[in-house]
Amino acid sequence: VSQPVTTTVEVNGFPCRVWTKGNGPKLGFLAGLGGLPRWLPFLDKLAETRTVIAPSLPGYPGATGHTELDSHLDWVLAVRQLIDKAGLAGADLVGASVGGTFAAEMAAIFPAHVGRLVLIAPFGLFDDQEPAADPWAQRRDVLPGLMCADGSKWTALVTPPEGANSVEWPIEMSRASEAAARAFWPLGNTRLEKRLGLIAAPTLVLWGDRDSLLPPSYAQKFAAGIGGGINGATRVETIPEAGHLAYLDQPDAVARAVLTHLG
Amino acid sequence: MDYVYCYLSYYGYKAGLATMQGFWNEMDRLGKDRNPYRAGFLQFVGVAESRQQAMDLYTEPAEYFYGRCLHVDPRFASPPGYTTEATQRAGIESMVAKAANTASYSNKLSLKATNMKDIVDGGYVIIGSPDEVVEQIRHVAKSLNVGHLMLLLQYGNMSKDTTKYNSRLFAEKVMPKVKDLFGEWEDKWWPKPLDKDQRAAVPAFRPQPVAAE
Repeated sequence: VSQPVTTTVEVNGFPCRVWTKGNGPKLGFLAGLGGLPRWLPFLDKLAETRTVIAPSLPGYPGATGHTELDSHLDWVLAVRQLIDKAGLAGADLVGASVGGTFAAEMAAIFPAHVGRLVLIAPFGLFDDQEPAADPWAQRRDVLPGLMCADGSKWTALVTPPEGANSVEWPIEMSRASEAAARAFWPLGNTRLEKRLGLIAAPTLVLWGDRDSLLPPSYAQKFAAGIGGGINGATRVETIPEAGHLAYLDQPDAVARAVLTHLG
Repeated sequence: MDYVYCYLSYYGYKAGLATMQGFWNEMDRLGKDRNPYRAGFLQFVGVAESRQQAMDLYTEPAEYFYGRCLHVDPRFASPPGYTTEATQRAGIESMVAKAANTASYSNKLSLKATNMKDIVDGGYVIIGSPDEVVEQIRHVAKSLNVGHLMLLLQYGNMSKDTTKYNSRLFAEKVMPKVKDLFGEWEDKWWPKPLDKDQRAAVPAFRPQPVAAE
């Protein structure tokens, strides 16, 4: 597996890493919980036919500046800057989990900024009848099974690679968790339902059928929120044998669904 | 501004040594003097006429406390943002995390002491006759360089009578023999009462009539 090209952009004066790999039309990826501590087989699949550009959200691996973001508006504007500076304005956008919420916000608030849209188990809605689990208050031994259907996929994501700094690596992982908590406290209810109807981009909602963090039934709520209005083309697809971070559990199936939707 | 740094540890002076050394290293770096009154430390004590009597009196309450009172659900041990990156880097676990890790399944092998011998050997509770406690308190104060000791003389299920006994014996037989410690330093941080003429008058106590049945 060859590594992506690393560049850095500044958001509010703080560095954010941007990874780029592949050929073809640009495709943005905003990662889910944990961010991208390493390049993924899922992204390699996409990079076969697309130029994959994956900017790190503030506080995610390779980026800082999350501590300056005090409100959801701050976060949305930071992500808008990130998208612009990574050269993704107008490109297709894939967002998962944490990144999925912001991808949806971009498409709703800045419709000209997003081509086609894929949301993989995004945060942003909260249903009292089917509450999301709290990823920030879990026992260490339970967390992997909450993130992925196959917990070892999560463990492989966050385990320090050979030669990693043994002090800074775990700090980077907890920083990513803190950044997500800052963005989504409490429990990811950003009232996104008020803005979903503004999304004009043709949208695919993907959900792992074994997501034990955000119930798969939320997929229909997203589709209903986006659907009926200007878009009308929202599709929901379920990925079998996949948990919350479906792109770790089933990289091929998720990449196939994404590329099919983007055409 | 200079503040007092008080380290509230349930795990005694042996476990607290690294943290207090870190504090004094930082004071050195900042060019502050080593006035021991800059620091405070919490210590459990059980004093009696003899070491054996102290063991007899304080084993049950100490084991009750360390065995039963420190169960923090590990899910809530380290909420995001609770620990600064500098602290993470320094590798200092919060007391909450320590207690919680003790309770967590994955850390069962590294259980903190819950039997009296290990509790005493670990320095969690200082035990002994008055003179033995004096000797240990002087060692704690000097090795950590702390001028303020916060003493926990009641813990676990200790009875009121035993608590009063422990407190009285400490005040009468131990405290006088440690008073001379750090006499060369000024305690600029001890609270000072207002001048008498600035104090509010305490209103006379007027018992309220109790409603008749």
